[in-house]
Amino acid sequence: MVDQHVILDEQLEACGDLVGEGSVNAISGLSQMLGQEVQVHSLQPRRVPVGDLAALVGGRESLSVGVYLAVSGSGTGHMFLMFSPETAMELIDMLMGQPPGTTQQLDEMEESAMGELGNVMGSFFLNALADAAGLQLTPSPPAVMMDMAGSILDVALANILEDSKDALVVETKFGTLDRVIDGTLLVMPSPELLGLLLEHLRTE
Amino acid sequence: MNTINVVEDEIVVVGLGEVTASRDANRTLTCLGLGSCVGLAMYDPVARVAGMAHIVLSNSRGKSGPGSSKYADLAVPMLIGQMQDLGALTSRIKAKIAGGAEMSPARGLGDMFKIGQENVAAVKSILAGVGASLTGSETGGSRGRTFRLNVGTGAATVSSAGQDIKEL
Repeated sequence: MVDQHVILDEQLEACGDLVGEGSVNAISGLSQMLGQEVQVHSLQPRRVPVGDLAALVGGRESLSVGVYLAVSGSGTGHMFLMFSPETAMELIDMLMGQPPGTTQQLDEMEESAMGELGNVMGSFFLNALADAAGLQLTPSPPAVMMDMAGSILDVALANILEDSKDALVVETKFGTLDRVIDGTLLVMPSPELLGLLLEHLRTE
Repeated sequence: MNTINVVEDEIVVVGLGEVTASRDANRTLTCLGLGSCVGLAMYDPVARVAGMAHIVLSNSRGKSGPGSSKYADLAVPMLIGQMQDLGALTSRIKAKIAGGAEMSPARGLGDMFKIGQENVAAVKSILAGVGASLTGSETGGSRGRTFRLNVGTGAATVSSAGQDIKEL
């Protein structure tokens, strides 16, 4: 088991590259679902105090649509796909082949569409990471929430805070070329999972 | 001609796992976007001392040290201690709580989202144990909440996305 406190910044960076492959694959999953090109605007591994994580997605009070997936298997972790409500509704219209502006709220069907999107992106992400590092990683069913960002993130933050005051997070900002769709993918591997990735990088 | 003096309240954000006490009447203490976390607002109306805790987890299980105010069992006595330092008496303290939501039905995620209920239960039992009276609560459900406590008046309010502000 690797203690998070001995994971150095350069090691985090190295793992970040590997995790980044997962992000790029997840974004290509989104491209396929939407039938149009989605670009990675920025991809950054960071160490962030848990209390500051919500600032990455507009602050604790900012109204957001989030899809949460828990990671299990060889290692554990948390994944969040975060959008503004306007963007999420735009996305749902695209996914369901409706004219823009059709979706005005998130009911069961819309939540299901967002959940499916999270499921595809989460699976694409974990498959890439698992293949690259020879691990077995599975996403949980997606939990779709529309609320203040802080309240969406809380459960995962509480889980991380049980062991550490900092979170190791890979932040990916992405969007379509016309910027109609902009979103953030946050992946928080547990220190144990990062340890497995480091192990893989050492033996490669 | 009437002159109206409007004093803007200074908003003090009580961050994840923090506790803050104050007797500065121009302040409003606030916990933003509480999901499974529980905001605890305490007020001594005689000393006009207020305190707020942003509780993340229910039980420290013997852990201590920096950051331990995130646990309900440690945050409550810490906050009461800080309030006593400013002149509050436990017997006069009225407590209100908000938060502890289960943000998602989370099929297949096991009990992960139940953490809010655990937090609420822990805070209630600890308050009872120290003899602080619980005079208002807005907990559970699946909505995020912002909780505010005005130090000057002791008024506590809860707001959720797209809903009216409610006084507790």
